[in-house]
Amino acid sequence: MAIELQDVSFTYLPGTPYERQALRGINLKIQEGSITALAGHTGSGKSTLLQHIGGLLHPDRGQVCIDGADLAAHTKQEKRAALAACRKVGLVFQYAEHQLFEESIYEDIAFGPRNFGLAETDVEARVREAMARVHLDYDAYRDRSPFQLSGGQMRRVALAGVLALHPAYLVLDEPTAGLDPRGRRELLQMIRELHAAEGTTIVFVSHNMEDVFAIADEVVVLRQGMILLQGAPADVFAQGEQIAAAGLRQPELMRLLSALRAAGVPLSAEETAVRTPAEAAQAIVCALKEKGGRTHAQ
Amino acid sequence: MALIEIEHLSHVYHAGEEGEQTALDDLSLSIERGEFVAVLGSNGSGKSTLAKHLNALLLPTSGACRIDGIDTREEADVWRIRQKVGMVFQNPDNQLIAAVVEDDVAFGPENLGVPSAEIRRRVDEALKAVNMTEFRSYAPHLLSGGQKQRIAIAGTLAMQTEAIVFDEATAMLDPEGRAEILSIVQRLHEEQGITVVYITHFMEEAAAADRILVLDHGRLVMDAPPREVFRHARELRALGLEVPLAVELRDRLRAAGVALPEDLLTPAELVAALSGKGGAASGD
Repeated sequence: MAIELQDVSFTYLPGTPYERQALRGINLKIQEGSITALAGHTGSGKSTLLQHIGGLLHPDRGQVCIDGADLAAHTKQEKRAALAACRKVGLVFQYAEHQLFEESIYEDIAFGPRNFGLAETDVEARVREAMARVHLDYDAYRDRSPFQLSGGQMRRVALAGVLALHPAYLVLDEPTAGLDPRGRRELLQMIRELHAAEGTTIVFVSHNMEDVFAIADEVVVLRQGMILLQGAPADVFAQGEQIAAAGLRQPELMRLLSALRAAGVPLSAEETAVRTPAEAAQAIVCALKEKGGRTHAQ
Repeated sequence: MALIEIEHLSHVYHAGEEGEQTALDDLSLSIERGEFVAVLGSNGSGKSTLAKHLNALLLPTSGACRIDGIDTREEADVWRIRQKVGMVFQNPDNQLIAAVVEDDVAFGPENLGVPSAEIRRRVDEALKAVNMTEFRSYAPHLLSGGQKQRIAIAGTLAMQTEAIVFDEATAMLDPEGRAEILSIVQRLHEEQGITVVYITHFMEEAAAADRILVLDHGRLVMDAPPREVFRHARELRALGLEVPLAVELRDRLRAAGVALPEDLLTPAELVAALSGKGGAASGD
């Protein structure tokens, strides 16, 4: 089971002076249970791709299939399968807190499950569970207005509203944009916890390479509507020239460690690809000891 | 006289109503002409409220905010204030209004009744200063986020403002757009002496300023150069903030016995310190 895109092409405003081809023959398989990041410069097609996965846009050519069901259905039977497949995908938009609208946090999160036709007791269970997932205390927050929360908390309420639908695939567009460092760290942590606890497949768009490096196990780098690079973050980001060609920058930690290596600190290529400052510090200490040892031996 | 003077400024939203919220709490500070000041604080610390006081988009609930000696509460002077302090907001799509780039840049001076030859000169200069001359006849909505923010900056330059306030102007940009805005800000500050008030969540950007103000619950809790502020990693984390990566590594390496200056700030300094004198590395 997976999200599969076969030869997907999409053009905005075809036949007008503003015609722009956003996706060109994309072939991509997103494995169930993975955390996949879509990275790319503004205009690379990453948000368009995300909207195809969410079933909001249909390709001009090619197919988007969720667990084998084509989202662009034609017959009545296909449409039923496509709708069922779409419901497996939870889409969290950029600045999702702008979409909150209810008077209380409870009502806002309950909106989706109710629309899916769940009984009120089940709705309540879903709201409780979703609030726990985003670290909001049910009793303390259920009756509060979402508009009196901080920006980071509001975004968590919006996320809870999607999680309450029990998506098998959680798709997020720039989930940490505009959050302060703590809000960013907490949100990434929640995504990681959800993935670990429920095995939810995560697909997210980001132009923050630090976020990608921190949580993704697969990165797809897009450029001009095509896939330029794909693979494990450490391997993908190690290709500095290609990353620059895509209009991206290597994660800061990797750049710093590479600069140290270039300046003669004996770090291995693998050590320049560690993901956390703690690992980096350890690697630097070892490298300095090695260098110091060599110097003494001479 | 400082360009920006804030005395015992408090700002309360919904004063006397349900949901009353104190966003700025007895804040006093001043910013001199030509300074580059970064403002840090978690979401809800009062940063954006402060920004909006600097060109009279908000007025003090109590206390005072003076721009070049003009009290922002003087209604008749509000346009004089806005000619002195320009703003660049977070969302590039919310601040461009014209259908063509150069018309957008000309909008401010046109509104002030500046003669058209003078407007032409200012627009040319402003676009040149942000490296956008070749895009002068483009439609703004076809530009990237970073390019749109550069047009917004050009719009304030065409007003010949002395100061520009950036309210998380890079939050929605990709890494390249962020780097390009920061380098333009630094250049305007260095070459034209523009006073910069730069609100950001990115610690690396704040490290480029001359001075950092840290806000927490509407109060000023730190006011010092980056080297000094980023010595206080624990306090910053308690406020929901971070330190730049080079600083975090510095602290971890120092804790592991590596000899490094305690005010080391940038990646370049870290590389120089660790590679230049490899021998200075270990304490044993």
